[in-house]
Amino acid sequence: MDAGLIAIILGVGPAFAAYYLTAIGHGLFEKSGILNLAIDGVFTVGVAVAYVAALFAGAAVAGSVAALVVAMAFGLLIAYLATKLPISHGAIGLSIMFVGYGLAALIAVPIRSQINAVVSYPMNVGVDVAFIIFSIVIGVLVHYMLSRTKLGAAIRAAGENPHAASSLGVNVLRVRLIAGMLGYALIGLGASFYFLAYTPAPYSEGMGMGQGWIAFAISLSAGRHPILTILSALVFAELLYNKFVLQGYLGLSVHITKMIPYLAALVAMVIFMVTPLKRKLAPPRALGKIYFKEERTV
Amino acid sequence: MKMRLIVTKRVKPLKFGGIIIPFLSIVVGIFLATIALYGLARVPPLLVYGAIGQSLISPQMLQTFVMLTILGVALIIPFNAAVWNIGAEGQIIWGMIMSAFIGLTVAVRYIIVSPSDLPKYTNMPGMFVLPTPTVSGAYAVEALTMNPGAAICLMLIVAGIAGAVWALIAGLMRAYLDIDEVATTLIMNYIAYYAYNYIVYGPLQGITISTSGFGLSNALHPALRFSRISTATTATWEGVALMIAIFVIAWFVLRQTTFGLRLRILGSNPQVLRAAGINVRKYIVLALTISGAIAGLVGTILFAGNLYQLIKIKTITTPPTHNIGYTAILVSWLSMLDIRGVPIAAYIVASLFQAGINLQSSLGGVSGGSAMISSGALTYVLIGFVLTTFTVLRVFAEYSIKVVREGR
Repeated sequence: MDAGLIAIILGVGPAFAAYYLTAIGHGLFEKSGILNLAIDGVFTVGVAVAYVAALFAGAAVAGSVAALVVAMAFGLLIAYLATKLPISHGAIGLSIMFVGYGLAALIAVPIRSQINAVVSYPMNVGVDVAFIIFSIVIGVLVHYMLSRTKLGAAIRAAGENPHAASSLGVNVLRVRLIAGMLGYALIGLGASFYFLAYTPAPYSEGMGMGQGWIAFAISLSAGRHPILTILSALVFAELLYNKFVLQGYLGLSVHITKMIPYLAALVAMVIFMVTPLKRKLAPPRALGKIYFKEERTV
Repeated sequence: MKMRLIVTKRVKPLKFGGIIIPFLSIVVGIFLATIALYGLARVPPLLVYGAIGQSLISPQMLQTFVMLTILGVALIIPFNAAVWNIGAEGQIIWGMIMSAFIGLTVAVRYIIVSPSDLPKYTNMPGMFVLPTPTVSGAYAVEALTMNPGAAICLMLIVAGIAGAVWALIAGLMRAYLDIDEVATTLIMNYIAYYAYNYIVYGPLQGITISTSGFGLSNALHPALRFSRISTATTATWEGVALMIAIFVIAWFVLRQTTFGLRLRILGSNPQVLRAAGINVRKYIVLALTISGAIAGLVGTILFAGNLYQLIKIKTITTPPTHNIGYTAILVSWLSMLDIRGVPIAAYIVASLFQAGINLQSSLGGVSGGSAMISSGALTYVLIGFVLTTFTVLRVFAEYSIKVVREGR
């Protein structure tokens, strides 16, 4: 195979890393029983923070670290509110999504209008390969943690039946806080890769909006399983990375190519739900259910 | 000594909780939003309060109030059934597209006139000359092909159907495949945005030199435009009439019919409905479809009452709807899902929404590039913080918090 073709195939690396990490972070958090609808808002904040932090520190890695930390804080907040108080997971998730959309603009737009520069990860085949290996290693670690460790068992127990888990000695709040922190750390990391490696164009308001929902669909269509998500993330990343190829070969309008990932997201969710996959990879039974006993200490 | 806070369920819901909690949330939410606006973008708090105060009495917010009341009603119907329609944006967009299709193609035909013949048409009744010439240098004149009243009715009907169909897709996915409607309706908003852009650059693009290929449609014939209440506001008589009609019908259906009762039971205790042998799926689909139909009508109000033209979406934060479909979620939540509270909530939220627009235009003097933040993003900040505060505070309508001291 010639080097050009290899470069095109591996060039999907940054896109894959961005969607894959976001999707497994989302899946990890939902495994603990919290319906995660804030994903798109926090992803958008992650993009804004990554842009600003990388620019000021002069290093892309700093952007990733900052996005990871900020997203983590959101994860902790959501996990705390949804576990401690009898509030609807959907309502708190959506509310924080809107906050995220707004904050992202406040963080990045003033900087963008004063400084016209972008600090990003270097773009070459070596870096592309590094992104693929890095994200798959993280995915395998998350899978191992969820299926083989005590913490993973506790997270799954909190997602299946928090009341039973609690009476068996699992501290549901602590477990969900950890899941929120780890899950959102990955979402923040994914968001930073989305901007700093996959689309390092000059920042514009609203960058990243909607991508969180694509990651949501990637995770759902793989039943929140970290290893299966490799496959669904790869399909979506290829679709997005090659959208210009699609445009060229099929003569599609640019607006239609932008729409395709969202259509694919709907189709992927339908495929998952109508095939036996749904039964084999059922969602956590307590997902989105308010966890509340009659009386509770805050 | 150690202090503990204990959350307990109230025996009776908090007295006046339906009023105190929304108001408290608005105050606290706005306060948090000003902190974020100042801390991150150096927007002076006084500018924010000024913009909100100004918009409370501004006649410009009347049109927003009309649209938010209608959308609040549209969303409260499925929300009462615990079906979350977050897709009003997409449903409005389809309502706009279909209204434009009727208003710009079915209800008018285009007469191409050479510049020398133009004076004959400029004062002819029923003729509307498009302001700029076509690509070939000739002028295009819109001539009505049908009665304007009938055309407006047709716009509304087709827009309602379009919104209903768009919501129906998500309704079927939720009812028969158990796919979370929050995710599908949201994802479908993005699909609608891109479809809209495809259409303004394609089938409905204008025929004049200033519109064709610029992501603009032709302008709507003046006879098909809604009539403004006064020159100080963009609100229209048709919009107000629709608002009153929709509100009264929805109030009657939700409060006085078996259908409405069943919807509300579906929201609180679906097991009861299943046990009574009622087809729960049908109600889920209907709740979303009705909601989508009403949101579709808002598309006509926006197109024929305000914009008169389809304008491309430049960035995803600035659709022609100004995100009013998302903003309406706040209206229905603040009303505590009680339809009588919708107009009050719509008034408050309309001021917040208008405040985002007013604040944007007063940001010019703020240093540090904050003037580039769009009104859509500013609205997100205000709405987001009020929503979050409300989501947390509304717990106290049904639960109380006690401070317990534990001596050691």
